[in-house]
Amino acid sequence: MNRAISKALADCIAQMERGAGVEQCLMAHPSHADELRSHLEAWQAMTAGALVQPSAAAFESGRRAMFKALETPPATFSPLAAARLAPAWATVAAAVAAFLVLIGGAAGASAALGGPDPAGDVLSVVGVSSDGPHSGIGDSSASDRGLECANPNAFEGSANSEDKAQNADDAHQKQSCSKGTDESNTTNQAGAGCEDANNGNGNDADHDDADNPGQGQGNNGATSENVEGDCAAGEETPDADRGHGNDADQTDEDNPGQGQGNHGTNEDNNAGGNGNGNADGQSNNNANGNDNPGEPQGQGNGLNNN
Amino acid sequence: MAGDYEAELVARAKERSPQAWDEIYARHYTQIYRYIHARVSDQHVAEDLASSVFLGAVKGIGAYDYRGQPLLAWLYRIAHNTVSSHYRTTLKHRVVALSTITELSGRLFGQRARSKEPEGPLEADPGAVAERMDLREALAELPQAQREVLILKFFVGMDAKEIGAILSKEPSAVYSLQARALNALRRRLR
Repeated sequence: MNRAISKALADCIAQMERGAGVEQCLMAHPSHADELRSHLEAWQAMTAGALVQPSAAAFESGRRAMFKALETPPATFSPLAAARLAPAWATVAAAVAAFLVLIGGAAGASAALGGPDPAGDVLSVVGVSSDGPHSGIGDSSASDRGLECANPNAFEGSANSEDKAQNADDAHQKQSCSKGTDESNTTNQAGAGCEDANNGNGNDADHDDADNPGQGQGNNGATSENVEGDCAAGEETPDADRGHGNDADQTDEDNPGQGQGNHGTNEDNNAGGNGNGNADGQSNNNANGNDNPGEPQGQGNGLNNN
Repeated sequence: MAGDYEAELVARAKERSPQAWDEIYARHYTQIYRYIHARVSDQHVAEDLASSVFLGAVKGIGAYDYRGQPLLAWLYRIAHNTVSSHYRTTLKHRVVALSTITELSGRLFGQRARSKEPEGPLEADPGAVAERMDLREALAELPQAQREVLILKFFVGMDAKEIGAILSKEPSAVYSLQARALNALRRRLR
C-alpha cells in the first residue's frame, strides 16, 4: 500500500466514523476505489461487532473491593517496609556493604590503638602507603606530576601568543615597504626587503581586484626567493594566489591550502592548513603554519613577511 | 470544562472521597474491563484484573499528577501494565486473547467460515481454526501502537478522538495508525 492509498484509507476510516458508508467513501477516492473497497468492507464488518458487557456481579464485586481499599489508610514509607519490598539482590548488596563498613571500622580502630594495621598492610601491597608526603588518594604524587607536566605547556603556549604579538608588530613595521606599490598586482612589487606587498587580512582594500578575487584572510605572499631579493614587478610568484579566499574557485593547483592561513612562504615549505607565517622572514616549514618554535598549532600572525 | 471537572474529581479522589471514587469507577469500569477482556483469555480473569486496576488506582492516586490528560488514560496505563504483569506471572506470552481472535476472526471471515461449514461450530473447521491462528499471529506481529488502536476501536468501542486522548495522539494520527494496522493485518492474513 503506497502512501496515497494509505492516506485515502485513513480518510475513509475517518468518514465512516462520522457515519459515511463504504460507497460514499469510495466516491471521494475514485482512483483508489478498487484497492480501498476490500479494506473498507473489512473495516465495516469489524465495526459491526457487539461489545462485551461485564457482568453485574463482577461490577459490584470490584466496587466493594475498591471501597474496602479506600477504608485502609494509605501506606506511609517505612524503612522496614522498604526492606521487605526491596528485591533480593538489593538486600544482599546492603548486607555486604554493611559488613565491609564494620570490618573497615574495626581495622581502623585496631591501627589507631597501636595494634595490627590490616588495612595498611593490604593497601601497601597495592602501592598505596600512608607514609610519605603524598599520603592518601586525594593527595597523590601522580597529581603533582600532572601539575608539573601541565604547567610548562601552558606557559609555553602563553609565550607563543606573546611571540605572535611581537611578530605582528614586526610585520606592521615592515609593511611600510609595500606602500605605494600597485596593490592590484599579485606579485610583489616592493623593493628589496619588501617582503609582501599584498599581505594581511584583505589583500585589497576594495576587494575588487580581478587578480585578487578572494576576500579571505589570506594574502599573496612572496616566495622565499623574494625575501631578500628583488621582487620583480610583473613576475608572478608561484604562490601568489594562495590562502583562504584568494582564489575564488579554489581549484588552482597552486592553491592546495584552504585554511585561514597565509601563504607567504615558499610553496614547497607551506603545505597549507592553518598557516600563519611569521614576520621574521623565516621560511615556514611547519605544516601548521606557525614558525614559532614550540608552538604546534595556532592562529598566528595575520601578516606574512617571508 | 471537562478537564476542570476531571481535575476536581482527581483532587477529591486524592482525598479518598468515596463519592469521587464511585464516580470514577462507574464511568470507566466497563471500558477498562473491555480492554482487559480483549487481551486476556478468560472472562473471570478479566473481571479480576479489572478490579485490580481500580485497587491499583486507589493506591497510586497520591502519586498521580493530573495534567489535563483524561483520567481514563491513566487507568488505561494501569490496565496495560496489569495485563503485562499477568502475562509474566502466568508465563503466557499472549498479546491478544484467543476469544478476541475468535471474535475478530468471526467478523472478518464470518461469511466465508459459515459457507465452508454451515452446520458445525467454527472450531470444527480446520480452515477456520487455521485462519484464527493466522489472525492471532498477525495481530501479535503488529506493532504495539497499531494493535492498541485496533483493540481500543473494536473491543472497547472508542472513537479516534478518545483513542487519541488515551494514547496522546491527534485523531488524524489515530486514523493513519488504524489504516496501516488494517492493511498490515490483512496483508499478513493473505
